[in-house]
Amino acid sequence: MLRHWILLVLLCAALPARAALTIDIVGAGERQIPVAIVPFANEDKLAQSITEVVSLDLKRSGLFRLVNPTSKTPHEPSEVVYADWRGVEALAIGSVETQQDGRVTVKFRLLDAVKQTELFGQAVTAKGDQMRAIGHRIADMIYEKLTGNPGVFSTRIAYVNRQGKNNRLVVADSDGYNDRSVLSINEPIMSPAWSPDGSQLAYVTLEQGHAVVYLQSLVTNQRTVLSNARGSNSAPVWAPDGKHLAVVLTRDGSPQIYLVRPDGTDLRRLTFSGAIDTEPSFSPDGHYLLFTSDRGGSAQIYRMPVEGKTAERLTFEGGNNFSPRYSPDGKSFVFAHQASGRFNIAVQDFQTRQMQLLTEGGWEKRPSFSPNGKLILFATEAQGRGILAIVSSDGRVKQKLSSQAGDVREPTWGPFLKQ
Amino acid sequence: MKNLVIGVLLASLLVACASDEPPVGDLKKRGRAANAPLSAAVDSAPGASVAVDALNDQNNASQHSNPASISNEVADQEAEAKVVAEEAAAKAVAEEAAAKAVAEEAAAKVVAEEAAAKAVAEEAAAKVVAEEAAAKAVAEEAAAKVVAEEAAAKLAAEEAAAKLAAEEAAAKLAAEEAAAKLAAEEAAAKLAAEEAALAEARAAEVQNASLEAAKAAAAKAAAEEAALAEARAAEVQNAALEAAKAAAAKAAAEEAALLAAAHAAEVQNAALEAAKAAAAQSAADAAAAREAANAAAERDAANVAKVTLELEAAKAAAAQAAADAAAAREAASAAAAREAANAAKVAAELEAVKASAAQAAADASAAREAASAAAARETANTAKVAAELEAAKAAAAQAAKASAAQAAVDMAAAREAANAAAAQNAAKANAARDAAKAAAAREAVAEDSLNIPSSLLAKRSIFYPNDIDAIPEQDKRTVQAHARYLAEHQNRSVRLEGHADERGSSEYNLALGQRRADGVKKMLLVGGVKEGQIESTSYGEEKPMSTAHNEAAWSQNRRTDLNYNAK
Repeated sequence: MLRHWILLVLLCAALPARAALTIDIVGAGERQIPVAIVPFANEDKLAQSITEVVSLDLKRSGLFRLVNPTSKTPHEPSEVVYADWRGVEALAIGSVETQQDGRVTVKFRLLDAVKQTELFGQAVTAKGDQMRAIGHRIADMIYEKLTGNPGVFSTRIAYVNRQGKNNRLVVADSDGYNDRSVLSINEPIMSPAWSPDGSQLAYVTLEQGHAVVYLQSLVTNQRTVLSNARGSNSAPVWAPDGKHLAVVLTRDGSPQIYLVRPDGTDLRRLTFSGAIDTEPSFSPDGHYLLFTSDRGGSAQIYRMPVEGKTAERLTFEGGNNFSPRYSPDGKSFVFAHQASGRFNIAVQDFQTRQMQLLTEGGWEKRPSFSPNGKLILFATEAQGRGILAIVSSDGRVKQKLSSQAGDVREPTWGPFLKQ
Repeated sequence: MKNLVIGVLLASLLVACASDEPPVGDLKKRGRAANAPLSAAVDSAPGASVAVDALNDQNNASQHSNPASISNEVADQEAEAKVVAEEAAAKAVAEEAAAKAVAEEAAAKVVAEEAAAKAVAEEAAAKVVAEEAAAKAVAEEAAAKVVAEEAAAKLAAEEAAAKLAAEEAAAKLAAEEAAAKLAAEEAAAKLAAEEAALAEARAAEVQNASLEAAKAAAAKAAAEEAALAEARAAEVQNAALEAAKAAAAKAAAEEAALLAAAHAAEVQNAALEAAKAAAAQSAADAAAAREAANAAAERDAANVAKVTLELEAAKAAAAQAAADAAAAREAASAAAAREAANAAKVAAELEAVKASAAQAAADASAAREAASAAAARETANTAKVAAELEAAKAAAAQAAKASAAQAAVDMAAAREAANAAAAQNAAKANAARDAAKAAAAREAVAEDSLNIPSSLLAKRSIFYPNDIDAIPEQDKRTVQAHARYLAEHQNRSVRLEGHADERGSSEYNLALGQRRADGVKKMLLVGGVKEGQIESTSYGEEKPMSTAHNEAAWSQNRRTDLNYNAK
């Protein structure tokens, strides 16, 4: 009897990993680079195919057209017949070798099929359960080599999964795999925010009967209270140097923005409007804050220097504008734009002050940039359930990420992992 | 001897206190006993006289036995015996006297002490009576006071009731007035609406008429244009005909010329020339006719242009008229809408007045309840006073008991009466206390108006328009009622929970909910509630009452809840 149970458990462990979020892709980039990813030698012996991860990653970016290698299987540059690869710009080949200690060595090369030269090659050794991570690394390298921008396939996202009363704060790979709950409670969780080094999450829960801000280490899973003043404590966001956070507190009456150290000391009030000031977002150099305020009568987006007192209004179109986030290059910001009862994601350039709508769905909120500034993650709805979606910063490529059960909400994109 | 007697008397009194029989009899007994030794002493006196008689008999006997010597001896003996007897008699007499004196002294003492004791006893009895009387008097005073207070309370209650009735009547009057006013306003509004409708109809008619006129003008212009066109066509035709005729004439002329030429040369020439001239003439005529036709055509074109212009003008006028008509219609519909809005406003005001009338009625009933509670309180007070009176009576009885311990006579009776009275009073006091407790319990239940379903306090939610956190006018009374309740019950506390609908970001909605709760908190503080009784929190859009994407759901979620059951 026991043997049967053991067998069953082993069988489940041997199955390939399943994502908590399933992804659909729509749309294409302005120009799609045709690439071919040839399955690596011996990778069919692995539990997880590396080239499958690479292909999906490159496809999801919308900037590549994946060409089917069909029956051609070169694994070494010497095996490549370039005449076979007309119409393809870049070709990825490689091989996999399992060591005696169970670790896996992956060798791969990216070839320029037009110039018939090697663009780069690498060998990576890792544990057998790290195949997805290796695939993401390879995809990042291919993406950066061919587009000039760093890839975000190895980054993570955080979101809240709500089923009935139960709320779980989840951290997952940016493709939805490898999800784990870092918090599970029967009260609402809101506003997760990543520390700049990706080792901590700040978030808000209502488990104490009112909104309280917590900091939790993703390494030790220990958490501390950042702010528990009377009324609501919410909207935490880290400064780029990691030495401060901005939070919104109602302790002095209206919801206002304050600075505080991660240990809760050195509290400093930044806004004095007497209206609602919330959702602060730091500029990449840490000198400016974007925030939502209704000091002018309706919710709009303002910018102010962290050390100064005067705020400049940035949005003028539409009924209300919420949830601003600086782009990683500091030249634009993304936000939720409400007009005629519909919520859409928009970007606005600081220089030109021009607003561009990126979606037309009608119920889109809480956008955040990927760390390379090319993708925007946000919350939306489909068939009455909360799901996540990604749109490229030029609005052309769209992805939907939906979970098996419950509503997915409050997403936020994590930073580059320091290697 | 006196002290002994007094001591004996006291001892006998103490014994009498312990026993049930009145002490008076004992004193008499004791008096009789005291008399006994005296009587014994007196009785012993006759023994002396017997001895004297015996002596006398002896003397007599000795006188009869020896007349001479004996007579001397006898005489001596007789004399001695006589002396002895006389001494004894004297002694006996003296003793008798002494004993009598002692006895009389004792008797007198006893009598005196009896009298004294009696006097003391009477004093004590008198004191007890006096204190009883005093206690009675006090009790009667107190009773009288209570009666007076009762009467006063009754008066006050009646006054209050009368006041209430008056206020009710006044409120009713006011409500009726307001209703009448509203009815009048409604009628006026209706009239105004009807007038406006009439005016609108008239204006519409006018517009229609002008429209039709324009239409007629346009039709006329069109007809004129058609006629002109026809004339032009006819003229063109005529010109063509004339041209044709000219051509025919020319041909005829040529024929004639040819014939003439066939006949004679000169005639031919002349005829030719004549024919040429005629042809030229006819050509000139034709040209002239053509020019005339052209001129006519130009004139017609000009006319047509003029007519088209006029037509366009007429069309423009018609369009303008149509636009005016549309504008007038819009204005009329706007006016109608305004009227509808006014009617709605009037209806809303009617509702508000009705609500305030209901409020007045509720206030009246609440005041009535307060008055009845006050009356209950008064009866409880009366019972309390009665209990105090009884306690005073009991205390008086106790005092009488204490003082009776020193009295002689009516002490036991008075104490017994006092005991009985005390028992009675204690029983009465218990009954009164129970009654008071019951009344207090009833009062407590009636006073927890938080649990009355029909009162304003049963409303535990304030609802808001979109993106507003100020308390709407129609909900201010609810908040004020809660403020009053909390100010009067400082042991109660409330948690204010602000919510918002899902439009906007979750953070903005958390802030909006907090401002809503804080607004209610401010009004409670102004109403006299203490800071420590209020907790103010926000759930933003995270705990909606309804999750649909429509105004019906959103309006339910824009609220502040007053939660009295939070832990």
